[in-house]
Amino acid sequence: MDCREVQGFIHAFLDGEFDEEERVVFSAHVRTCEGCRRRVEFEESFRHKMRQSLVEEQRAPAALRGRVRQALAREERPESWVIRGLRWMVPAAAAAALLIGTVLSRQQEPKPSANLAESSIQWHRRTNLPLDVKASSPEAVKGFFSDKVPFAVHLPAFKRKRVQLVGGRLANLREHEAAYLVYRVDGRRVSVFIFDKSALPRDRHVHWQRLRGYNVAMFSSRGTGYAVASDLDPEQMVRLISW
Amino acid sequence: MPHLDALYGMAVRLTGNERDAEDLVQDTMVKAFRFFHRFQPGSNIKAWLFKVLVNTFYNTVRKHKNVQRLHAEAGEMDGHLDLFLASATTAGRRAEDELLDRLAAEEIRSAMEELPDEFRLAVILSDVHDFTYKEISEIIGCPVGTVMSRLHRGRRLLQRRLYEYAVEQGYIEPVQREGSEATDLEAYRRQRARRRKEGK
Repeated sequence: MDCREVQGFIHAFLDGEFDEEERVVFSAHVRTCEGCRRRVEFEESFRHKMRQSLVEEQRAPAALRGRVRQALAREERPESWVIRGLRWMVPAAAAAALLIGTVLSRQQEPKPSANLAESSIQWHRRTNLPLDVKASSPEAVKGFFSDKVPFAVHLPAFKRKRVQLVGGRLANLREHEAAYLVYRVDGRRVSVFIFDKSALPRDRHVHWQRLRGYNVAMFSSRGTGYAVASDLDPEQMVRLISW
Repeated sequence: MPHLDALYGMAVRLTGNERDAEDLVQDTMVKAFRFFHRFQPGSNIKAWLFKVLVNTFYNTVRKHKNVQRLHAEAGEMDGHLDLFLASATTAGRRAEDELLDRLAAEEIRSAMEELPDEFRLAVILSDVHDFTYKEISEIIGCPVGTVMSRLHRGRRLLQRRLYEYAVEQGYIEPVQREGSEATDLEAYRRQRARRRKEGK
């Protein structure tokens, strides 16, 4: 690398866009060239100064928080939905929770939900699993579970006819007892696990896991924990659980 | 709302005032909520929110603002700034340290405000919010190469404005271009000679 190239790529270098090899070549030149070194140091201090100048006032006013919250609450009213899609009992707050306090990055996932996800997928993949109750009516399935699990089984209230209940059975996600419901959406299986919400971290987040080609969304709603597993693409999944 | 501060900071920089910034953030959050189905789970939600913010800004705020800025100047390189940066200063201090130390945050902010929107956007996304070039290209909807050139030119313009400002205020002594006339004349002659040759 010569001086012209170094000066042309100063920003790419400082912005962390260089790969290892490029960094080595760049640094080698800068080490031996006084002019380029000064230039790099100047750009570094310049952006440090700029960042300081611009970041310090970066606090949203408290009133704005309130305004946004209110605006989102107005949006949550079903009448205002632009796209209804598949709407279920999980309030649109699930989407709001994702926006307002999201836990999407896998690195941040706490262990408990990772275990739940893994276990949900193991169950979901067993396609020939016998069901304890076969019925398309939510009442019948709910009735079956009423005296078998120590928590209330609130079935998802899908509005669309496309989402069909196939049946359910008892299952366990690791040490947690669960009511396992099987649905069909356009010929594809969707597994819904209902369990005590204590199995999930205490927050309003929707926790996502993508494992071996399956997506699992986990969240709690009205005192109940849910895990939804399927091979639907992420967009369909979001609509399934948010709308 | 962990990204609200960042969105608000960006909105202030984009709109130039706090009232418009608040409206912009609110519109952004409502839009993000309505179009949430377009968000790809697993991708960077902060980048996605910024994209919504930038689009909202261009669609609404900017409509009311018919300020046409001159972009041509951004392309020019500035000989004086380069010379200044290369020069050593008296008292053992380096010229560039002198320049940076003298400038106040407020001066940097106002220089930033004067940058044309495209440049300002790219520079803030990179320097303040640490987005990668790829993320920036998705947020503002242009190729990575364009992001790079906007960053380069934007930072350059900013530095030049600040340098000129520092000279104006008497913070620093400008560097005289010694013998630059002679160099320019020679270059001019070479160029003329080349042109004449090509003309034949």
